[in-house]
Amino acid sequence: MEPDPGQDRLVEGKVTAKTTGLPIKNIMVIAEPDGHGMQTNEKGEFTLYTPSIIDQVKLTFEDIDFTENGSFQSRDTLISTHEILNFSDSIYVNITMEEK
Amino acid sequence: MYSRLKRLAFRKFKKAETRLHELNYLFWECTTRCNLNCIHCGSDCAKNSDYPDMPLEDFLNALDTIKNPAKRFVVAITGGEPLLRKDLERCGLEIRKRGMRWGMVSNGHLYTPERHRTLMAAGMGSLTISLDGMEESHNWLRSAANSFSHVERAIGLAAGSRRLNFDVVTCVNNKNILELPKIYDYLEAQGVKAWRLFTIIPIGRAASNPELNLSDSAFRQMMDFITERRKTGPLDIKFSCEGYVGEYETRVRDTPFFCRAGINIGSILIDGSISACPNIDRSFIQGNIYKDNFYHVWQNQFTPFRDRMWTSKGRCADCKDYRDCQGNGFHNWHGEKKEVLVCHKAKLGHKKTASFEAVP
Repeated sequence: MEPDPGQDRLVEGKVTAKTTGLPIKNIMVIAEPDGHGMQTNEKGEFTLYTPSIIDQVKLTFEDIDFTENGSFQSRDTLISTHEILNFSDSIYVNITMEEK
Repeated sequence: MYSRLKRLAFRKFKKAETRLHELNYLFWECTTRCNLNCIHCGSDCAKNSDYPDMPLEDFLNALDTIKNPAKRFVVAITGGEPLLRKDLERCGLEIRKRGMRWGMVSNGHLYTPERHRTLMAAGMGSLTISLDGMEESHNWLRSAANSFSHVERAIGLAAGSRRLNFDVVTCVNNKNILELPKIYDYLEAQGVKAWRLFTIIPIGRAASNPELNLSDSAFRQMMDFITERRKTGPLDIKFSCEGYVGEYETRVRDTPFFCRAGINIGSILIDGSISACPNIDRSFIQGNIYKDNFYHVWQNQFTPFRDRMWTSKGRCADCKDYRDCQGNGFHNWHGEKKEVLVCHKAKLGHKKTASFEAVP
């Protein structure tokens, strides 16, 4: 049983607050249409693999810890994964979120 | 029938593969903690929850000794139950960062929608989940009243994932052998594409449990079942790589028997031991990552795996199929290693085949 490395692509990024520029922890980053996702770490960073068989992936950013690390409005963005040609390449996404 | 020419060609291929000795599949026994208490546990693996989980950094240090990993190199995370580790996603991401792939073997109990989402995002490429029968027989083997419903949820999630190489494994025993057609239909209905069947090694608790060990005629019944279903599809059903099955070779698997333990398959066990498949007798341990360079051990040790002539003893000594079998699956050599523990071909010497209406 072997996974096919050609079927996913690496997306990395960082989430910061719009007004302060500080990194935001515990933002859930979901990649659609598959719905796979990860939370940001203490540096506001995330790393996730998305399907490469579709051209565009919608990334949704959601504040899931209520007010613990501030309170932020959800947002989403579209990225094109077909630009990543090699297994080891990745896309980097910088996202800012507005405080509620 | 498997032609003589093909048989000779495959022997040459095995020799070449053995000489090349390319590591392309590495088991990592990341924990020996488990959330179930299966009745066959201890029969083919040594569970010892006294060990703490292996720190990821220790495993990565060993992994980083592999300078030029094989193109299709895979880390198979196993246990214990890997899902008990909270840092499993981080483990997966670190493996992927190194340009390597990873997969997991799980009992599925903790495979929730949330965990599926994060593991897939961590680049998990393959998943094997155990299903040991329909509800009653599965729960019996797993000693858990609700295990089947948990596994059902896990199978549904995994089968619905387009980029996951997913298969189900079933430990065939006297309780579930009559259910094989039902399990087949069930898996097909769940959208499963691949199903692997194996039997129990009669050691530990399993040695004295008659319900776990298939009789010779029941074993042949299983071979016939796999043979027939491989003709019809749609499931990719196969017998595991556990042993040489004589006349059934090429009928029950895609390729003839080839035990790749220590040839292409290595392992890093919970205490840092370096070996091949995790269920192999611990006397075959080749080194330890806490004192040896892992890849150096892989390249320079593993002699009993690469040259198996030492297995030509006992009933194997004068067997006419020895060159194709080479002492059967490596995990069948235990203790003093004077005799192979199970000869699958001998089990098939019993010609009478039982039907699915009656178990012998």
